Amino acid sequence: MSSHPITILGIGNLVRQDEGVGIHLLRALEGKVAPEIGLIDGGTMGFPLLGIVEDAHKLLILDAVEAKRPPGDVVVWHGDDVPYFFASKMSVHQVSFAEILNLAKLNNAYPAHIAVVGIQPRTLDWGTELSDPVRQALPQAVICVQEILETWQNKNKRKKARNKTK
Amino acid sequence: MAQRIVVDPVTRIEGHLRMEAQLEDKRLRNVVSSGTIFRGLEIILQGRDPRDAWAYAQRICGVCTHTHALASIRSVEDALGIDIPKNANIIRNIMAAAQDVHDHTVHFYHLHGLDWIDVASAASNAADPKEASAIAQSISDWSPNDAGYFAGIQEKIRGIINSGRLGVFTGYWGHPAYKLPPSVNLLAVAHYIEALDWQKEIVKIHAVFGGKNPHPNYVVGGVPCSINLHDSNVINMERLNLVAAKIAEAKRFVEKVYLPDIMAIAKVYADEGETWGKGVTNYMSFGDFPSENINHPDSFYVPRGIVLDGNMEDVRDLNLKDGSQIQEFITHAWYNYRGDKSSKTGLHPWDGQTTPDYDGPKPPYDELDPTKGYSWSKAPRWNGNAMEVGPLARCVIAYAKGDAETQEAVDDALQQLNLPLSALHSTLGRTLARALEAKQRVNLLEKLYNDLIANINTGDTSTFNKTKWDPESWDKECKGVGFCEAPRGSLGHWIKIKDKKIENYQAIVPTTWNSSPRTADGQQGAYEVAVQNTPMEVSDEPVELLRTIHSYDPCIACATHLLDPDGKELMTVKVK
Repeated sequence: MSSHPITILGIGNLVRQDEGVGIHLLRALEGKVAPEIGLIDGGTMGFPLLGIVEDAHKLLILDAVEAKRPPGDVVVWHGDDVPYFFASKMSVHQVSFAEILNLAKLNNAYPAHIAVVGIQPRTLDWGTELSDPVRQALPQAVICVQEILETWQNKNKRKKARNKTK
Repeated sequence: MAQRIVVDPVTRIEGHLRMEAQLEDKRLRNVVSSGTIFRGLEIILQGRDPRDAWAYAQRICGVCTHTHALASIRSVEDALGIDIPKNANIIRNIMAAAQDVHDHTVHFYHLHGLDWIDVASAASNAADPKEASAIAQSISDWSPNDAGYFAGIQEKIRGIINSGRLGVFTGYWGHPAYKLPPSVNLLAVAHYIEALDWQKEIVKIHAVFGGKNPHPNYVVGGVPCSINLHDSNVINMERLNLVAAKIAEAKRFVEKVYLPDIMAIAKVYADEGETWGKGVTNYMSFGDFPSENINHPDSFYVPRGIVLDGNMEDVRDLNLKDGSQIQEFITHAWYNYRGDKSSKTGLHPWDGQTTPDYDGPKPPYDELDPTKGYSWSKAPRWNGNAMEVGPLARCVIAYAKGDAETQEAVDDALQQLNLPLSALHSTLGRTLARALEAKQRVNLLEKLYNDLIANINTGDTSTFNKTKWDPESWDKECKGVGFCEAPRGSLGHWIKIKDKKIENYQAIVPTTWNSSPRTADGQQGAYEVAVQNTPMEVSDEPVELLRTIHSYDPCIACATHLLDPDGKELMTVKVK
């Protein structure tokens, strides 16, 4: 298992502009989250992500999402909505992220807690710069991430507190 | 009556590929292979610091990040005249060999295997766990292999099928092209699941040397890790022991699971050996795994060469810097050269251009017109010939050059299958060559590891040559080529540097060779030729076509993965 209580996995393609927002967001989080939280740049990988997903206790995924919203909108999914969302997301990779999640289930190694912070992209053209609305959305996305982390960490604390009182 | 078959996108590959063909008398003809996504990496790299190019190049693709980074740093080293330290060469070789083993095994079990293995049959009552156990024990001493284990696997598959969420196990089950006995299907699916766990381990080698995985770090001039056997923060004995352990695990898995499975499956499909998927039979390998220096091809563990028309008596040499040998053509691709859409000129990559010029039908379209542009893939040629690259090409060239390890492995396998050497030129041959290569790579990994330890023990801990790191030390203008043998075949990056910046950058990736469109003389690329005459029993279930295309391990290298949440179908098979 991962040595980190929480794993944040950014996925996406840095050379396809807003497609890489998950990685940009991951980089924006550096130094802004507790040091015991694992930050992983999953890039465009397929099968090598399986180990990361299976090892995670609590997994927060950062990605560009097609949510039929205006560019730059930040969207959050929790729990069972996560695989449902990725299942509907078509992939041209050798293996889609939905399949990675399915494989983790098949191996009985699905994370106990899972969530996605997604940003609606404007352009997926070749390029390394984010579009304006997506770049401007990063601070809000950071706040979303921190809120989820707080909830997850408080659960941890409550659990520890309960254990102590026993 | 002829029907037009369209498969778009071809799934279980990296990237976005469309195949079209005419179905006549249950055979595929007039095949069209189209890369349907534009790759603009070359444009992104222009004007950047050459030392940073690898970080962008490795993002082209979701699979071969190591190989793109490696080709990129080698191109810069070639341009600047940098020799790397011995440790760096060995470590890069270890990373490349580990990538090959991971990639080949995952490709077989998780991407290509289900073209040969029927999951529904494995779940059926006809698949007997006791029989699967007996077969498993007869081909290997790998455990678990008892009947109870296979019964458990069968329960698991049934659970998935009954849940209605097949996911990765979606396929054309029951198709007549599936021929394995049900118990062998069960055995193979069990190993599909085991391979998922195993593949997580081998990639840890990349994390040791590259600092992290996925997307390990690279550096022009060497490798970005220091060696000190007694320091806990760098490459030390503890981490090297981890590498040794992962190599040993990989060797066991390849020798006791992957290869026995391949042979058991190949025996059943051996009659296809000479009839399916014979490609262009022109083979090319840039060569790789330098034992000494990248500039001495004679020192490569994987030899360089060209074989034309399957003639293994005559291996030719190739030169990546010769402007007349490797050229890319665009008459049937969506590009122009200097504004000329119909240019019949071939450009060597140093002078290559990436100017998109789409003249295809407006999407969504029913059919492509192969007399015009029909692909985002250019058409690379060697001395005017369409070439096949990849494990089979490397195998044919090594065999023809007299490499003893290759000859022994190939002869032994073909003898067991009762097939002649010519059977290599087929779908089955391609899949077999990949497995045999995985075995050679685990042996190479062991040797490389011992080489590394021996070299460190001489007191040499150098991993980085910094003499040309400062751009002030560079010539005003220079150019280079970086290459490697990626799992899927010969990969080349050509770079021109001017005033410390990238002036031009061109990559020819393995799949560009294999998926190439036609050239002006009508010569087709490797996929198009290989699918020609492939049988197709059921017109809306392209199992046979997928089997041949997957045997090349396509990697269209586009790596975009955001699309419609309404759930477009993963694959459309259109029959008209």
